[in-house]
Amino acid sequence: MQQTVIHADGLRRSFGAFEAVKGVSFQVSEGQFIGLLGPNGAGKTTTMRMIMGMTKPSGGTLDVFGVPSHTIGRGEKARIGLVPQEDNLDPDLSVRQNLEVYGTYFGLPHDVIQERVDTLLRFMELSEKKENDVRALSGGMKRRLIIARALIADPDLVILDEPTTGLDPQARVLIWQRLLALKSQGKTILLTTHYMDEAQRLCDRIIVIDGGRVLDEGSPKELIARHVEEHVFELQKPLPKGIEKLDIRSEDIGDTALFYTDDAARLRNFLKADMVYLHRPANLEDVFLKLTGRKLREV
Amino acid sequence: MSTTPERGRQTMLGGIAAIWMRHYRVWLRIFWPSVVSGILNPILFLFAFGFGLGAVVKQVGDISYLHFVVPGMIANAALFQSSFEASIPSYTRFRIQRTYEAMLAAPLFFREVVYGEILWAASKGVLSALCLYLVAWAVDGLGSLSGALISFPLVALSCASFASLGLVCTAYARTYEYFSFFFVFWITPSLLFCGVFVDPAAYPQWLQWATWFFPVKHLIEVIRPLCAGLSVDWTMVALHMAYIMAFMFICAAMAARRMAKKLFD
Repeated sequence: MQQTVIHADGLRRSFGAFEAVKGVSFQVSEGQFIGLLGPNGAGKTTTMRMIMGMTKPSGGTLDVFGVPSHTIGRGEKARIGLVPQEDNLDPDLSVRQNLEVYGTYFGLPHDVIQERVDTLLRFMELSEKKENDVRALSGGMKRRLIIARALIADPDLVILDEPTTGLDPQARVLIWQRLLALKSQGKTILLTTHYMDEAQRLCDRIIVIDGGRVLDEGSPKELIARHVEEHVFELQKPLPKGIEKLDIRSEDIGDTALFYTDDAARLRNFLKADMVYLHRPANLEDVFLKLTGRKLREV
Repeated sequence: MSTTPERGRQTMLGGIAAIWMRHYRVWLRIFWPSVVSGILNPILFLFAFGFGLGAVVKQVGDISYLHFVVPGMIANAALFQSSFEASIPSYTRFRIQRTYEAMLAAPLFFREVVYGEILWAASKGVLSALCLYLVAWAVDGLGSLSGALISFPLVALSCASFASLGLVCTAYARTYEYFSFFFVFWITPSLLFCGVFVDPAAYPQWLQWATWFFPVKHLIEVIRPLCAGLSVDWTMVALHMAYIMAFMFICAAMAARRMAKKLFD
């Protein structure tokens, strides 16, 4: 049987009157790649901080490797690699030294550190930059170095808080490849993101959270099947007359309207031949927007 | 990667040592600026006051002005270096670079971060003081070599106390500007009113009393007779050192409490 790595049950956390996490329950089993998906302010980072023992839950239970998160000791911490959202690399040290010094924080023997640092620099394609100043690295390289740093003690569980936010497509693809390689090594991965394509591509299971609550969870396919119709038509305005009579679920997003349907032929027949439209399969983004709404966050 | 992963075995002492070594590696990377501020600067002060003012003042009580001012300079260098290192540089690691958060994501505990910071900051004070001892010895500025040797560990202990106060400021500062309090109410009075250059007996009575708050005044009171080769009241030495240590424990506890609140909330 697979072991449970993280078990949250009715997890809560408030800051004063504000309740950031309002009773979240989920489970992460060994070897799974789990996505924690939610808009800004959904409670993702707070949940991560609780898992790392940096913030104590105000209610519910949260066990990490079978131990309540706020009491985790060195043994459990040594099994977790954290990639925080904000860059906290050591700017006073070189690329290589960042990894070496981090290894000493784990109490790793010198020769193990040297061997791992070389391996990790190659794995994250940073070997050529190893003597560089961290301050001189691009955003993508910094991210790669933070991921390498999180792997210095060969953790069982890797936690990544929005690891690709703000990166260019090439940098994102490289990170995705590396994360999948880690999964194939048997590591358990917990990823937060607000990029749907990322979650859809990488995760075995996705937990959608918003407003401090779990809205739904399942594999990307399950979530799509459960919440949205199979086909999406994006129609430019003005919309053809009489389309509302087809009684298809639609959403107005400005100059375009989205129509969701399981019967693509019926809608296509209705559209005139010269109309410009986009017909695509429903994706996780449609699920996400249906579940969390289109209202802008952090206003 | 190996099938049985080597995860290391961290201990409290190992953790403190790892943090100290991190600071040491950074220090090596910025070796020359560190040497200029930590070693050359106090030596300049020693020469300026030891010889400059010494040419005018000549004698304080039974000892030469050079013998009078050397222990003051040593204490002041120890004070400045250790409490400064725990102020703005620690603040930068704490709030700007988020170095402590990175440390805490590794198997290090918060108390090791605090002890590591204090130990490192104290080490910088010890290094400065040591260099001053050597320079003073070379220019015949120590009245008693054995007394100076006894005073050195007392200076080293006091460095931890000075560092703890710096860390209190780090814990409470909201921005860099808040360190004006640190300079105006700590560094400057420690330098001017605690007997570094002049016998504090010259100041008005109330000021003499008020400045007993500053641990550096106690330290100077202890090491001046030791370094100059005067008679030493060991009971008073014990009392002064007790004050310095009590100051350290209170400051370290205050700093730790406040920092924990900011890190773990």
